[in-house]
Amino acid sequence: MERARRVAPGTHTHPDLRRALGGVAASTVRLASVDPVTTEIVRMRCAKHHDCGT
Amino acid sequence: MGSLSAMSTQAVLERVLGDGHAGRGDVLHEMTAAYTAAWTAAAPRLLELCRVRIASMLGCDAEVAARTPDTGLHDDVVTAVAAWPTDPRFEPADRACLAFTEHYVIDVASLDDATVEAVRIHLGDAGLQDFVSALLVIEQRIRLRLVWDRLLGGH
Repeated sequence: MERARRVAPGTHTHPDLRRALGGVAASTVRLASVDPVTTEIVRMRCAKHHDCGT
Repeated sequence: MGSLSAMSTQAVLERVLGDGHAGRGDVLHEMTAAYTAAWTAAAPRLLELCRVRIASMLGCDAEVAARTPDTGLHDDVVTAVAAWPTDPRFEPADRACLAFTEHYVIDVASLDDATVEAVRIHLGDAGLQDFVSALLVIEQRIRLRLVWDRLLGGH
């Protein structure tokens, strides 16, 4: 489902928080104790739940 | 691993992720940094009210009982957070953010434009974006803590 933007173009998250969120995502996907198929299934399920097209 | 339920959420994170297992220390470091940044990016008063509301909705007693320092909130206001729709101690910005938060926790994908716009009116575009990002950090941290409580000996 396409939605209209809810914030103005060019709006960015506070740099410290943006950098930290990127760090959480990057460090999490580097973990190797869960197999890639399970990781991908969970990622896709979360994306669907959160209505995220990526 | 013993009971986690009496520990602070940060202590739980350190217990679980600080075990020396490959990569977990990096996750702990980044999650701690994100939590610190969340309180820098969003107004502490709003984030504290929303943190406690999320904790009460999800049944996380430790987070309901915890208090973040320097939020400017009196404890009686924090403990009354569930009454925000009618309690006069809650300001218009509090109400907008708490309405957003409740909808966010229940079904984030169905958040409607009016609920989002109500927050944007008070915080502006950048403030809305920072608030939502900070809320994400808070909510994920509480949910993760609850999972670990259940799986690793909280009850």
